[in-house]
Amino acid sequence: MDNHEQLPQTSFQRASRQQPITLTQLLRASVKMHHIDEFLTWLAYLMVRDLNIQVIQLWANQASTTNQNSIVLRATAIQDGSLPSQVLVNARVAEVVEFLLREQRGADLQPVHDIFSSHQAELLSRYGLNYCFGHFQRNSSLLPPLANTHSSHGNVATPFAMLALMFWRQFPIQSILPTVTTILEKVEPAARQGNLLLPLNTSVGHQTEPFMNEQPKHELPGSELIPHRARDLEVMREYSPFSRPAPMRSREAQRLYQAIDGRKSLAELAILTQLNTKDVEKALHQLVTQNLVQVCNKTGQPIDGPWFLE
Amino acid sequence: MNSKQITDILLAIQATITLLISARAFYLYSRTRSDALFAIGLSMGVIGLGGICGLIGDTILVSRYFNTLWFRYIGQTVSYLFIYLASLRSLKRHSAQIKLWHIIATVLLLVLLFLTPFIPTSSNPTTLAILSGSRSVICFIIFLNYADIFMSKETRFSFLMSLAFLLITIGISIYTMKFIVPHSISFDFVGDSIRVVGLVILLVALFIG
Repeated sequence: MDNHEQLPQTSFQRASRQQPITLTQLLRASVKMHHIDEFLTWLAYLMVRDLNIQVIQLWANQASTTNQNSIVLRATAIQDGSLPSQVLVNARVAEVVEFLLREQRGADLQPVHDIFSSHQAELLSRYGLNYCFGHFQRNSSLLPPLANTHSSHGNVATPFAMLALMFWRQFPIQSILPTVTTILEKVEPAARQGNLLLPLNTSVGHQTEPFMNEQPKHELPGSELIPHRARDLEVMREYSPFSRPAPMRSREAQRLYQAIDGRKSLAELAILTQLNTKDVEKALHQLVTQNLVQVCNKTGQPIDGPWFLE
Repeated sequence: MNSKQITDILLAIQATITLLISARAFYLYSRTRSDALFAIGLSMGVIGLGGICGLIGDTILVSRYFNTLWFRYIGQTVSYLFIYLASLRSLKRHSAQIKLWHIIATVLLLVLLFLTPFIPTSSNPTTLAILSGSRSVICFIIFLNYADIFMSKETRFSFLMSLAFLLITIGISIYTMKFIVPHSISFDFVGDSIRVVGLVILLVALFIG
């Protein structure tokens, strides 16, 4: 992002001492950027860099024209670039995020073992992520749909409700949480100043009914099913591992195909790729009909899928 | 050109082909992280290294003081075994564990290579026949596997692979005869030549299959 180059190389101490500068940066950045996701990604990067946070994820609710509400990862920044994405974006993390967004609350700074399932907590600890803090905020603005989708995908502007989930290797110093909270609470006014959020009275395809207390639904048909790259199953049998797959027909199919690793379920892939249910089904249909993907159950048995070919 | 020079030329061709395949596989592996590519890259790398050891042993070192045959034969058997495992669909789910075992086996092979000065230089012909013949057994199993795949799927890759491993099996089998039938130097040339043809077809299978 070009804006990164404009940032002064502040240290953690400087950032902590000079919160007004951070607010100024937020306001300045928001008017230069074109989409809220660009702004959030820039902010996440800034926080990771200057506040010594190992990982920050910005999650939000997403409504659709079919009243199917889901959660989406709007932005993420990771200090260690080698950290596999599936450690942080998976069904177990999504479950906790869903709960916090539904309850409209954050999470105190605590060991990951106190907030995540033991399996997920062990996974996070293995990658040096031992402490977690969640900050929830909501207000009267509307969040536009994701930058990489458009209205035809069924996503609509959604009441602003965002959960910032942060991870640390070591217990952070006392002053970090007020700093983080202060910065995050400036996000909405700064974004509104830069016209990155929509006012509540926007009439173009937004979710008029707040759905905070609704159960978010991101279940896909066959969410227990795991897509495999068909070539991976048949490579060294029918295809040379040196050969390349046929080109994908759509960008969504390409995104889904790239995320498929033979371990993640469809639901996990939907969260990871930030595609909604309809897009995942459409992309999967394309990939299956092109013989690029085969859907298997959890035991690895291939399944013929009339449910997604209909 | 004497018989030793002909053998060295064939060995050099084999080493070149296997190292070319290995380099290409590791290049693609760095981009895709495909376990199959890793298996091919490491296996062919070990076979290529064995070829280089054979060349060095014949040209620079005095072969009667250094016996690289154990590393070369066991290395090929192990490497072809992991190529076979990479082609089994039922083991795709365990590819991470197989990869780990492949790395462990390769480390042990390298230990064997470094122990070359301590290996008896004049091995029993029966021992060498068993070590050499074990390569052809595993290659024959790979041939059967690809022949079976070709019968059901009829893909170009499975056809070329089955043909390649059939020729490699025949080549190694003929070569192994030299340990059983003494003073038959022609087994060396015929066996190695057939194996080179098999490796060329393997190269073609991987690059255009």
